[in-house]
Amino acid sequence: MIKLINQLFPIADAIRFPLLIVEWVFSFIYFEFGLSFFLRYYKNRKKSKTYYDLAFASFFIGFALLWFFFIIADYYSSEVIRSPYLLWSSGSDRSLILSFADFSIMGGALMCLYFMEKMKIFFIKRYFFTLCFLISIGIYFVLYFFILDLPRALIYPFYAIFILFLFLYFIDVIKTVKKKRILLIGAFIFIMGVILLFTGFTLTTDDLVIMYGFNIRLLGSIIQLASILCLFIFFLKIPPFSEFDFDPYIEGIFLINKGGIALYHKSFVESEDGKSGHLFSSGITSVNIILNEIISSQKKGLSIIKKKGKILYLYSGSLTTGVLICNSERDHISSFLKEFILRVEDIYLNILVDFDGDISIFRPVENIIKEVFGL
Amino acid sequence: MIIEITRSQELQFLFFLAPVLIGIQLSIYFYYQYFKLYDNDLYLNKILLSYGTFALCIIVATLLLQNARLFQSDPEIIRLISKIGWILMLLAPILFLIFITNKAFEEVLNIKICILVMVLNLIPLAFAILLYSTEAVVFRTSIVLMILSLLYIIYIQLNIIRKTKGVIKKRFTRFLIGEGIAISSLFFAYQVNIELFPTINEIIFYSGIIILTIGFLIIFVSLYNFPPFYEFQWRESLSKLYIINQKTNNCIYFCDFQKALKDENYFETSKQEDFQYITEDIFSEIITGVEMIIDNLTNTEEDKIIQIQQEESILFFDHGKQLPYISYILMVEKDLRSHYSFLRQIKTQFESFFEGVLENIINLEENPGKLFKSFDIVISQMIR
Repeated sequence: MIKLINQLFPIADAIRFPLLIVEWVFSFIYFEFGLSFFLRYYKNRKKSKTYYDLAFASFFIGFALLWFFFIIADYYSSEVIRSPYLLWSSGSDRSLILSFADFSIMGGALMCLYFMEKMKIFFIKRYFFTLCFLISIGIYFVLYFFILDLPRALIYPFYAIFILFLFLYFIDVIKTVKKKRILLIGAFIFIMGVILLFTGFTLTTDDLVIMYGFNIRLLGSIIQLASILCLFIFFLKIPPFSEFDFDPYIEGIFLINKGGIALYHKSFVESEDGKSGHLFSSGITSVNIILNEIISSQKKGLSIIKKKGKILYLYSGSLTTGVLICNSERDHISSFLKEFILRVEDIYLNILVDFDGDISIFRPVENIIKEVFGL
Repeated sequence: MIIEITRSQELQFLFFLAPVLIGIQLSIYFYYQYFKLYDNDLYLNKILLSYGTFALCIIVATLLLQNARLFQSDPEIIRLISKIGWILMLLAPILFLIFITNKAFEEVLNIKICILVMVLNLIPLAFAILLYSTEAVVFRTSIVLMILSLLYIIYIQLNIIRKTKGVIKKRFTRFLIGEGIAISSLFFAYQVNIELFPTINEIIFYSGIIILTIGFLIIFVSLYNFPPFYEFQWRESLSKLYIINQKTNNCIYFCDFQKALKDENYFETSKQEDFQYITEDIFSEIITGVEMIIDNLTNTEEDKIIQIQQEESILFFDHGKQLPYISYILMVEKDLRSHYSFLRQIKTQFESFFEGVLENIINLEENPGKLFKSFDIVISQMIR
């Protein structure tokens, strides 16, 4: 049996060609975004322990595939309903291709949630969102075997889970970057881009197109194109937020005066050898003095000592030296160390100039560490 | 006049848009990199302008030519659009060469040949501007002259590859492969435009698009996190080399690159005892001491120091494969990736140069500095 409904698709309006071009352009660019994230993950996989890039890569590739299937379904597939149709009692070429589109974005979003939650607990327990999403996919998949043309309302739980997750992720991002103005602007651009992407996508759904015609779809597509601009600026100008999540990388922090006395030290890992902070600070001060001498370098500024699996960042201010012991290289950490030292020297200037040997006064340095490094 | 677009035309244009989008992004990326590094005041970065302009001209030109071929029916408009397209296409290699025809690039190109190639490329450009139509046989034949410029551009990049080291060399090689593939698609574009084989024109078109996309994708991948072009100047950034026997704390080989690069007779005139300020042996003892302190403080005796970075200088460390107590220390001014591979190369050369005798002579009680001085021959070749 053959039945025709709506006859909206394949799109044959005068709007077809411009709409097709806009949708093809942003699908392709989103695919490239995914590819770039994957490349970034691949290149840094030995250095970085994060999966954020892989999460973004999964989402953008899933989103691009969704749109590639939409293009095939809406421009090149028939909406004629046949019964029976392949495995199902009824269906059309368009609904089959649309189901592939749904599975692409579900797969992309699931991987994205998995890699994000692998790094951090966002809500209740690890993999909470991944599990909810997986259950929803399971239910959807079972129903899919009975009905090809499932009602679009069944997609809403996926939206709800993903939007809730994004909301929590954005809060986390803002918490991480709130101290750096440039990053705050970056976070704003990023959030703006994602909101535009979702708004634009919503405007291109069939329900709205049936109500308002293809002009609303063109508007939605243009908004999605605009979201690319936001995300493009964000990815080009702003370093990844994961670079500023120092928690897993810093093993210890030392504040040393010019005489080599450890004014403050804190270890974030359990030390096996029980070496005292004073022994460490004296040793590191000697090394710093020696290095300055043999390399004929300035007495102030940054030094980095790299070993396999251990990096020491030293920043010498006019009165103190800060030392960070990290387990891997972080591109931006030195500027935070510098900020830390300058802040300590500003606050403790009088104490440092006329130091009487009482280090208990430096206990509040812990708050400065929290403020600067977010530890 | 609006013409009806057929499915075939629509698909051809969609496929064509893929490399166009990558090409435009590549061009934006080059310009962005150029302006980002503008403050470095490094003339060599002009090559970024060359790449950006070249990619932009070629992409806009092919976009115009495809527009004329697929969507225009008015012969006058087709003629005009084709003309602009060809002018841009012919301008691309000229603009590429204009930006880099400078003494700063003399290491990789010959200025006179550059000018000659540009002048030859001006002939088809003049025809494209002066002749009524780009269909004219004289114009079509003169396009061959553009091939000379393209070949010379490839030659320049081969020279760039020869001048670089390690990862950078790999990246440039990949970039050149991508570029070669992309440029080869121009041959297909030319075939499609002149419709030499009308029956298989579409097949030629799609083949060209696939080749162009592959080429651009290779460039895209090779450009990811592309290093600035000051990697060319890795030699100028070299400061000193120390090869240390940590068992005896002796410096067994030393080279002052700053002097070696300035003075052609440096290796003949320098003697082991000439070095001033902190002598090599004191340096060796200090470095060995520093390594021991750091090993002890960080509790990582098994792993050796890789790099020590100070505000104005950087020390790169490597350790012997055959004899792990031999340390190779390179002091440089800039943190360039080429230095890593240079130091690794020194280690390999040193070990193979003294292969078989290294262990015996290195443990001689007296400092065997004079013996190791013969390594000067290898070093002098490596920095020339």
